[in-house]
Amino acid sequence: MMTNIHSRAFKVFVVLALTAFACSASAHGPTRQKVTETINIEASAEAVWEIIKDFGVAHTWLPMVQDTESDGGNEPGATRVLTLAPDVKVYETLKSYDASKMMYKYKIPVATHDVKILPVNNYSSTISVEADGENCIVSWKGAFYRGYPNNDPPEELNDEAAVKAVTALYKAGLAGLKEVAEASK
Amino acid sequence: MLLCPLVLCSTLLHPAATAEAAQRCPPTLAFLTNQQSGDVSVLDTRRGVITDTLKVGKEPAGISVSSVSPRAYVSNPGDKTISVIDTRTIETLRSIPVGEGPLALLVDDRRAQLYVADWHLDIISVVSVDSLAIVAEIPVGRSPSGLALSADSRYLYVSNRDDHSISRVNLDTLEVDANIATGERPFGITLSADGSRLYTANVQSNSVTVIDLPSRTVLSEISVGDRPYDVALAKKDSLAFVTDQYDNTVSVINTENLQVIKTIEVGEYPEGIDTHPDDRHVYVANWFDNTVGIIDSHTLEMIDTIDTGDGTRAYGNFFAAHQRFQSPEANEKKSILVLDFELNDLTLHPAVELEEKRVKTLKPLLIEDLKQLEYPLAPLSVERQQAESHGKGYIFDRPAVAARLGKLAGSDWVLTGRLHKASFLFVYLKAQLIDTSTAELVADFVIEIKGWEPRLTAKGVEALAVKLDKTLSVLREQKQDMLCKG
Repeated sequence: MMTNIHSRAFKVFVVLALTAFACSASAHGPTRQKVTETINIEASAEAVWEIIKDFGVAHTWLPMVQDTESDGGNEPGATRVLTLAPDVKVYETLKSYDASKMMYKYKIPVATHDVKILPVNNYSSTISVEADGENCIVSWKGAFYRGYPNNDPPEELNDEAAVKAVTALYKAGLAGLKEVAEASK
Repeated sequence: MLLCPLVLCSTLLHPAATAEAAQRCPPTLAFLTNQQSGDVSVLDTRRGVITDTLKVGKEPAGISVSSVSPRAYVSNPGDKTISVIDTRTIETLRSIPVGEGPLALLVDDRRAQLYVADWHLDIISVVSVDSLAIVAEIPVGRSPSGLALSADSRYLYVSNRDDHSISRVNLDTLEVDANIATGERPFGITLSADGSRLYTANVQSNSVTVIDLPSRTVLSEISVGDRPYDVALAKKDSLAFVTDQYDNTVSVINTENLQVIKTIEVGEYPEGIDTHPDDRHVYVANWFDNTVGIIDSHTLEMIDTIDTGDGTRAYGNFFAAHQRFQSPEANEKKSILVLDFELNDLTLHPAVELEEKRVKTLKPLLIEDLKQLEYPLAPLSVERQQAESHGKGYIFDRPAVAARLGKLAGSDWVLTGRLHKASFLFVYLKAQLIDTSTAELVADFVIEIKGWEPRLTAKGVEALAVKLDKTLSVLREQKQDMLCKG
């Protein structure tokens, strides 16, 4: 079961990795996009938070991540490197962390980002856990610009492609978290 | 509300009076662009509710509302168009294609044109608001992002996001005549009311650059929150409010000592920010939350959050203040009772007969002029006035008597006049405007008439009518302003 999720989620990135494109590091399209995905998990909010609370440990619950290297713990400014495949790495920085609200926010620094992996720019993301009776709801939100910063983007780097990719990432990620959380109950 | 005159406050306490005032003065509306839902939420700021949602183009972002005509303009980067909204009938009139990446835009009421910053073409398109045709294109720096206009419409300031600079466009020549370096990647910019200072929100360096425009020097670069987007000024420009997109906060800067004095929690990804015409309440578009938050600049607290559409960006000046044309009742010309002019001849050998003849022509002449200016004129019989005046020179300078006659005639205003002849060479045409209801003298007029010819007399009366009209129109505006502050 786990392997199925792994392979499905990894496919998302393989597809993304095929869309090779170079662009200037800081420019972006004119309009920011956003994605919100939520999932109900049959486990307590505390239990689910326990699984995701360490910014530096993502491979235990994010199905497409093989390994995480990190530096700085859960302090704002901490960094992590997600290894998706031997040569496919994503660099992220912790922006803010609030254990009492069970949430943290992180960004992909513009300088380290590769649109071949995720066709977005200026990506920032917030994940949070909220109790829902005995269960909980996990929300994952992303705000980002499309991968191609200039006018008339190619199809694979336009606004729709960016939203589609992030949506797929969050859906797969949350499904993986649900499975891990409910299995360990 | 604290500022309103006592009389008005007491009447506003009465619910019926409040309703009446509300009818007289339409509420200030906020036109908020929603990028994801592709529409504009119309917020009635008096009631704090969204009253309408207008379809516009794709991914609307920028907004600029005219302060003199019932128009708002919206930029739609998604389909490269500008939408024109009628802020009186609340409808989208039409959309026109403008450039490749229209984003920031600003209407210039004085020159009757619209400036559209093009993100991709690195130009400012100048659009005539009458023909909606592009009449000029001004090359500026890379990725022009923010616009500000000097109060006299002489200069347009443009932030060049990818050149880390401000360009000053001379609007007479339509050319950039100066550039000023800012922090990294300036986006939203705001000009102080006196035109002396420009504030730029620098997205990359997380700072606000404060520029002294007369000397074109940077006064300070102030650190604010993460990814500042735009700036709004309030409380007579004493405070600057900056949206920090990644921190979900608004940084408040004291513009005197240029220090951040408070950081206020708002919704997620605050973007557009603008100050209500009351100069007190600052409205923040929370892009991710689909809300607009309201900050009280007196207490520096959030006082309300209102749901809007999806992806509220509201980048620009989004308030449509109570517009006078919308309020026919407050704008109505009130009736005037013009009394017979009196003669005051101080010359040693007064040619009384001749002057009396001339004085008799004054009132009919003035009435003719006021009719042309569409003032309703109250009738009053000559006998009535004579009975009150007890002969010559009694009513002038006696507002109470004039007001009594005004009441008799049922007029709102009374105009008393006197031909004051101090010399053979010229006369003064004097007049006083009295408010019937308060019996107060509200304005004094003096017009000099040189010579005897009827032509000159008629010209003098016409000058009086013009002055009177100007005074009454200022009074109407003041009245409307008072009513609308409630």
